[in-house]
Amino acid sequence: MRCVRPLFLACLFLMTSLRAAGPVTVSTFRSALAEAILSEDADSQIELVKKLADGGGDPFLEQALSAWRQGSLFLHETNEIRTPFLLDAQTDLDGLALALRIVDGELLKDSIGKPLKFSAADLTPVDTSSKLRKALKTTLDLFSLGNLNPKIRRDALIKLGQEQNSEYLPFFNSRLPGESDGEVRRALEEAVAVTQIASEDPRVRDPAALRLGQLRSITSLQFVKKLEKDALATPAQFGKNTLTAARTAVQQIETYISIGNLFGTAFRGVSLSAVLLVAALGLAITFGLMNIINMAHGEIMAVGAYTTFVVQGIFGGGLLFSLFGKTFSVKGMGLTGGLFDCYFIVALAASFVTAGLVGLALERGILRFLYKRPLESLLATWGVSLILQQAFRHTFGSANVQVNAPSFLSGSFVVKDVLFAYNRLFIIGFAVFVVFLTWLLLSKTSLGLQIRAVMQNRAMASCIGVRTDRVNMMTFAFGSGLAGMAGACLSQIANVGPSLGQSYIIDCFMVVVLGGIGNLVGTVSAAAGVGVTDQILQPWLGAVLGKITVLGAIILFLQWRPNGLFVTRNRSLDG
Amino acid sequence: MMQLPKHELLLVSLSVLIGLVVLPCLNAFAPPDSALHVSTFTLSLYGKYLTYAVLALGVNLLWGYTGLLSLGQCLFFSLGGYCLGMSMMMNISGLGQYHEAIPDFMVFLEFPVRFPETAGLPPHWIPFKHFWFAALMVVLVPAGVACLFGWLAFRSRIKGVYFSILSQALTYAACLMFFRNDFTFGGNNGLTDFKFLLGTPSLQPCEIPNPASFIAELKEGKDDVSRFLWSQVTPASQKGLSDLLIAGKTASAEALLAGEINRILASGTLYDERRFSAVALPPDIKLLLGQNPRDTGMLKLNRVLMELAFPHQVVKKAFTGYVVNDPPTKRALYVCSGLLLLLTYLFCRWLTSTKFGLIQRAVRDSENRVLFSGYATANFKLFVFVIAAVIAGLGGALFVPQVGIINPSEMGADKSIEAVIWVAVGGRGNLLGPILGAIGVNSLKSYATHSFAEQWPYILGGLFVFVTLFMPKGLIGLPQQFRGLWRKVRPGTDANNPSTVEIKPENTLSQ
Repeated sequence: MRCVRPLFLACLFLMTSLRAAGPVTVSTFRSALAEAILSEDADSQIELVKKLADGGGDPFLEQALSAWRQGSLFLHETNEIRTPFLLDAQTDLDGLALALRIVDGELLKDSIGKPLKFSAADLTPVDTSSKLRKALKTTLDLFSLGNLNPKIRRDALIKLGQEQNSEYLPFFNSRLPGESDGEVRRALEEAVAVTQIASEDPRVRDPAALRLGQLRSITSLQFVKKLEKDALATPAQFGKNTLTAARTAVQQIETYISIGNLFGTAFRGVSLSAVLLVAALGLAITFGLMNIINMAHGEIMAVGAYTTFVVQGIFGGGLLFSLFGKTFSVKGMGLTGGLFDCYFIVALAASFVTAGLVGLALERGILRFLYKRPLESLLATWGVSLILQQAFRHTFGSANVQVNAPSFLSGSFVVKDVLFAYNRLFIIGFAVFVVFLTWLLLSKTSLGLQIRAVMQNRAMASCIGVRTDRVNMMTFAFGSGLAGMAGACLSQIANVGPSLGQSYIIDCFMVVVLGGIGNLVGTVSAAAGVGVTDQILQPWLGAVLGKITVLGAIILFLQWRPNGLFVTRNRSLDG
Repeated sequence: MMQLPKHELLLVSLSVLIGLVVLPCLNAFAPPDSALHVSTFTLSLYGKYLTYAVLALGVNLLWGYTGLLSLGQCLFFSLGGYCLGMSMMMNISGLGQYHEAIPDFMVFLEFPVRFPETAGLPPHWIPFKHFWFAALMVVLVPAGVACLFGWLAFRSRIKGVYFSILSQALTYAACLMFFRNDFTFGGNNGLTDFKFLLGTPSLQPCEIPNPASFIAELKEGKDDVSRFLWSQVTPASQKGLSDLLIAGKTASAEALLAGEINRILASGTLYDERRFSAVALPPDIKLLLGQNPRDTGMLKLNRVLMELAFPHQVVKKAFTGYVVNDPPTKRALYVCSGLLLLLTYLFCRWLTSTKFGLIQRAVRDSENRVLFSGYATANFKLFVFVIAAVIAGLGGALFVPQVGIINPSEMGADKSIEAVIWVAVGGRGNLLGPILGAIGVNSLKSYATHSFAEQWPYILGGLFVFVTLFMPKGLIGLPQQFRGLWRKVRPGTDANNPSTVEIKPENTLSQ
């Protein structure tokens, strides 16, 4: 606060110094208020109050104004000197509160310097007339326009503009030259124009409507539409020009909205595709290579998500979990800020390792006996998924656990009214990274070479000395590790609970089947297709019907290409 | 024709004797406090297992004999259940929570606003008031869905794990669909609170032969019963009845009158000593009155009282439907489930022993060879798929009245996979195995979820893993497995005996 104040004063000075005359510092505003309170003349009181609208950014002033309006502002009289004050919000045990002077916000003290205390019930508030209260309200409304935070200024402007109160116009216009923030400036212009289109005078109204169209003002669309409707209903009153202007503006704004929606849908579609891709990639590898249906894939993702939760607990405030009926507690490192945010990076790596290990155990313990019986591997892995789900419930409880987003992944930014959330962007980037990683592994390493050889012809690969058993193991572990990382990513956008895996497994399978097995390009394009189609359909059909339609479309699509989008051709009959 | 092996014939007839004769008799005739008594609850529970066994036979026909692992059999099971459930919901007779003629969920989902011209009933529900239609749909709906999906899948030669995944997706999609409230099947609550099966004691419009004279009689109020009835008819309906009669719309008047009387009959007992002083009541009715029945019993009694009070105005109905929750009905449903299981078993036994069954197994072992021999395998598979769906639908239809509820979670993918594990545990490619598996696993489940619910998922999951790894032939195949093991331990003991040489049942060439 100490460092903010000079800065604040400087800002205020900058803002107000552009005006020809007027109070300059906080204290002048406060003394102006004190003067207004003490003034005997009602008209000059109102004049003074109206001027206070420029004193934005001083919370004490705002507090004093609203106290005056609500009748909780009092006068202290000693030796013919009247000091206006208000009571602090905190009261002591006797119901008494400290008194704060309006002039400087300091404590009101008696002659020997002891702070005075009062109870609101014993005091008589300063009188207000209804006219004065109205003026106070206007001033309070306009007060946020002077706030230092541009976002608060902007929100206040949007709200005030929509009131279409022509009394505000001078305030808006007076702020226009001094406003430095682009967004706020735009909001100011919008507020001016929205207020002006309610005007009776066509010379003010029509250019204002056109201006709104040029500004592509989404928030004022309803007002322009109303103007268009009114102009259509009573042409005599509004005239042809108004109708044309309003119509042009509505068209411009609506086109702008639909373009924005298009980009919004595209972004959401791409981000959903990225989620699907990240989730399905591990499956594509295990399924594509070994032709094993891993029904526990979803639970391996959940392993990754829970690993993120555990790592977060270790970095932060510790965590509780129970194993075999006993409760354990792990003391966290209690990190905060940037160091705590690093947990996510560590968690990504850790989830790859833990999920990979679970995958390894699954492959060694169960799946390697079932390579010749894919249908039965489906059943066995389903059993594993049941066991894992219950294990999550027993260890971390059946409720969802809280995974906090690191600060660099929370929030969003807006470009042309389209919202881009950081966590979604991260997942898109992560999907690209993972696909690149997988491509690198498959095409540039010796393991990748062996994997491809085993995939194309297991018997022949075995004959020329590839240890297919080991390749299987490594591949499955790698695929599971990817699933674990996917789980860590999903923890940022979805609930982490025992049934996390169940909600993704069918989508994942759909993506893999649609893409065609053993093919990265297929998986990527299938994920993109499913994600974007889903997001396009959703506004029309709703989430559930959209999903059903996508499922139906996939079934029909497989009529046309039974082996998926991209087929790895070989000469064996059963493919 | 088919021939049962001697030991199997013995086993089947013994099971039929115990299951279909002894148990129901013990339920019906043994006194409730004797040790031999089988409670209706237990009988219903067994009935549920029997319908699951029917489902398992269908799964087995697909998976064990044709090599198609469908993860969507519970969809067909539920579809059959929904069809019969709808027919029972149409017999709600105003006994629901809201005392309306339409099922409760239609009232609170505000269907009367959505379908005003049918008083809240969605149009596709209307034919389900006829039991025969519902029974037909129990067969046709699963068959139709299976036919469409199977045709699409087999035509494009989707097989193996792809078929499994797609059938799972189908179930998933259907499940999502049924969860929607505006899909008109009760949303996530599904259909429940069944009252009557096969008929209803409610007055049908056609059961009032002469509405004009009946209304006149009620209006005139000669006796206490008519006076009481007319006083209970809402003023709006009183006016509506007169208006309709004047306008000559007899059919509408009939429907309105029947609706009003049904509402009165369902709202409370009609009998009052003074009110019925002029009506001669037979002794059996008097006996019933003394028991002061409620709910369904009350409605049935009210109907009889109506017939007695207005012998010329109300048609005498001999059959007023079975009360779903009555012990005799439950017993009958149990026996029906047993018979259905027996028939399904015999049908499967017959089907697999024919040439068709031979081709079925050939498809399972090497589809391509069958295809190259000139058989249209897709058609064979489609036929089996449809048959299995019908079997599942029939099972579901008997499942619902015994359990008393059907909701979308019943068609979830997990249930279908559970059905597969019953077959795997019992032993697939064998007809007794799935029955054994279904009954065994479900008994275990009932016991486990009762005694140690927390551990049940571990047990079930472990069962999945254990059975696939160590018991590929299921319980039925255990003796054979042990014999094989025994030969390994003591080689040469019966090498001379050619009858025990193990015949590899599944060919390995196609792999």
